Amino acid sequence: MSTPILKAVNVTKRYGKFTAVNNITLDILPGTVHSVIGPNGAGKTTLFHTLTGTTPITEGSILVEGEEVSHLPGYKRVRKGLARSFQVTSLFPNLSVRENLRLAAQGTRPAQALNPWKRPELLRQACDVAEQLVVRLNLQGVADRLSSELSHGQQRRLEVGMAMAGQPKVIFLDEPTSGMGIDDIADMKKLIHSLRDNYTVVLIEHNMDIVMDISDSITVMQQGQILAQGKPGEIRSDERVRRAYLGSMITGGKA
Amino acid sequence: MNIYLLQIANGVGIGMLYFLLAVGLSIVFGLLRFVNFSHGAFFLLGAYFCFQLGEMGVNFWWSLLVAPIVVGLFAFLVERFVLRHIYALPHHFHILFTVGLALVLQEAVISYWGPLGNNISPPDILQGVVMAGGFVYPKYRLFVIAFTAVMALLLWWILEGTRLGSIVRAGSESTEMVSLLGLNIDRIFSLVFALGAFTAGLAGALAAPIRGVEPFMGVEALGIAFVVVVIGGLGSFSGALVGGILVGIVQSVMSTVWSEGAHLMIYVAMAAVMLLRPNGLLGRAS
Amino acid sequence: MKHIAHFRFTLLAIAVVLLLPLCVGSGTLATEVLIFALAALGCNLLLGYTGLMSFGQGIFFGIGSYATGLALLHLKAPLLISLAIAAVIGGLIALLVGWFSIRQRGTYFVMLTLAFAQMFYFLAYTMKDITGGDNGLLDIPRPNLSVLGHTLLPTTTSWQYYSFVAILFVVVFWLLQRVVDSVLGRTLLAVRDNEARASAVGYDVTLLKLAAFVISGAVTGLAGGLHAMMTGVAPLSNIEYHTSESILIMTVIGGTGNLFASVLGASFYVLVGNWLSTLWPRWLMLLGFLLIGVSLYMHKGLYGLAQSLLRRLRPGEKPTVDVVKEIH
Repeated sequence: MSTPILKAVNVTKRYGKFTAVNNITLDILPGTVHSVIGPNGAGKTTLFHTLTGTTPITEGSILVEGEEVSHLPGYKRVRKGLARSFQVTSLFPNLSVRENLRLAAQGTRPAQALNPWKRPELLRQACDVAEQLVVRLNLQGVADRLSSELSHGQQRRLEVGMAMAGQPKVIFLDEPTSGMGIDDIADMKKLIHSLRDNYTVVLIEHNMDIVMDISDSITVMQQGQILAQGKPGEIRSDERVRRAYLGSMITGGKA
Repeated sequence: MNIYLLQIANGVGIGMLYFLLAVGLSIVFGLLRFVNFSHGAFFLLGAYFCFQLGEMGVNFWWSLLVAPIVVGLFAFLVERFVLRHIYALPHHFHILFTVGLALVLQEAVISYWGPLGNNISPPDILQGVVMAGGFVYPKYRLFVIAFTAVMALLLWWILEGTRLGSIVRAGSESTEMVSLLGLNIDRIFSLVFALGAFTAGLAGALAAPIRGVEPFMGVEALGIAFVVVVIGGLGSFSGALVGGILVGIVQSVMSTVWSEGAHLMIYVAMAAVMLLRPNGLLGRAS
Repeated sequence: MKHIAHFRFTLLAIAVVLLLPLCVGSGTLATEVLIFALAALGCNLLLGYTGLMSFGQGIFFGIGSYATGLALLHLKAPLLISLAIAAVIGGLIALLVGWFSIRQRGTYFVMLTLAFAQMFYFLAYTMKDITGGDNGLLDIPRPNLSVLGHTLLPTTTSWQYYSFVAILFVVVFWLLQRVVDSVLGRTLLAVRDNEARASAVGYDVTLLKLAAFVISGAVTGLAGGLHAMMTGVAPLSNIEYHTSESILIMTVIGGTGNLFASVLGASFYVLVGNWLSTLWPRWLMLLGFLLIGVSLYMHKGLYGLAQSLLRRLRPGEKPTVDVVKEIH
């Protein structure tokens, strides 16, 4: 039994009187794809926020390879090996695609960012990582264009690329296919598939086709709490899940 | 002992005025989501219009009503015809626009009334002092406290009790929500902006008999409004009240202890609050 | 070719420095242009590159004036040391003000810089013994640039002082251009573009903003010091709100797209202001209208205007893509 690479223990997030995430405990095993699904408002994105540090946690503990990180602000968790993409595309709009990726790659060694003399092209390692990603994300044609000029599908791929650039241990992808057309979704599915080789992936997705296809384990959330957890097969046949969620699914493929 | 009590009473008086000055800024920010840098200029205009009406022989009570209404009307027109078109731009441009407007208004005031200040006396029935027990307190200041208290209640009622108020409060939470509700958001924005200007102008008109009018009082007012709002919390009605009174008291007490440092201490107080409560005393941590 | 491209803005700055004496009759006026160009550069580093709108640049300008004035009057310090002191103190005060202000989100930041500007004004007013209060520091000497007793560059006449300031200006401009093109500069752009994203990929956004603020404070302090030596006084007005406002306005008018735009903005403000003020004492009203106009129509300022005019004069030329990209 391998040890979890990420462990959330009794994670709770409250906004005043409203509890968005209530006592969530889950283990994420290394080298797996773990999906978090649930209806809108279930607290999935908020859970991501607390795990990656985008929002401070109210209660609970988060362990990355056994190390407590819940007290660290988001930017420090990057160095502990966590990275994320956002549900609403969040790039650097006035910078080129290459530059976006280079900055993301550079982020794991932020002290270098304070260098007021060195030109960025000389940061060989970060530039190389950015180049490789441009190819892997199939963005060669637009590598020099501003990220705001890309199509939606290209932006969503770049969004995932931003998470990959820091070569993290765990990548959090928040609805990577949101707003995408069928062709783009197929490309994205291939990309997420290929991520399994290098990273541990935690995925929020509404597209059941992708979720059932590539997940090793699934957590189903509802109203801030865990409804069910387990392998795709178990979840598919779980009555509670069917009632609460899958039965009324509009997007995605088979249930 | 008595002199400190007197200064605290003074402080509350000034503080209420500062509240009235700052609350408009807070409300406008809450709904329109930007800081109006011409807020101080509206204060300035209110004071000068009141002065001008007095010079033209108008009764103070009428001036007190008319001056802020004119300021409010002016603000309404500016919002309706110009400001509205730049809401979609990044906030920096809203700030720059209002800074430009403030500069234009300040220079206009100097062109018309000259660079030196003027004095204005309170109406006859409010001149002189009130004596109660050992206390001697200027009648006009007492009036200011009572009047601003009434205004505070009126504003509170508008915000909590009326439909416009609930829209403003809802809009403070989310502007998209409000527009999705199908309300005429444009007209509401204009009204709120005008209301903010009205309160600033009213504060200016009220302040005029106390400190006279002078073209750079707009800049000073803006600074103080910012301090009040930073201390109290941006977007908070009660924050503006608490912040205003706190600033008023600090200024008053300091003016007896160390008169030169009175203005300085206001800003030091702000820095101190920032250290302890970065979102202001009553602000929302969002 | 790439080398020339990297230097093109510094070359433009040199061109301005050489052109000014030909266009402007007074050495003092020409020097004033360069001094405020420095201040505008400092402001632009914050606004155009980091996305921070500061109404407090007058704090550093004024403090730089006082610092240099005091160094020259009481420490009898040599020229470069007096200016270095202004830059260092400007940077330190920026660290202090920045530490308070930067922790706040955007809107609070802007308000705080204005409030701090007022605070430092009243502070300077109350600390009469050091600052001279209302009168300011008077009779500030202007030493020659000398090393070990040998005069390298005299500064006695206004044009001699101009040449000194001109050299310093070009050096500082080149240094700032390097900062802006460096890793730090590009990371600041990321912070300006999307703070949340910058934080999510691992950057300490607060620290980066603070770094920009300190550099800005140092450059602005230097400008203040040069101003004190130029006029021989360190007046209270240098630390007044109006100075902060003016510096921000000239930065915005110039355009926030790149550093050279600030030189344009400062030149415009100082030269046109100087000319207009003789015609109409209320010329600031026109400035107010110009600011309104910029926020409505001319977002990229004078530089943007010049760019679009040039583009129209050269039809059919495709825009090239730089590796080290300009922002606009």
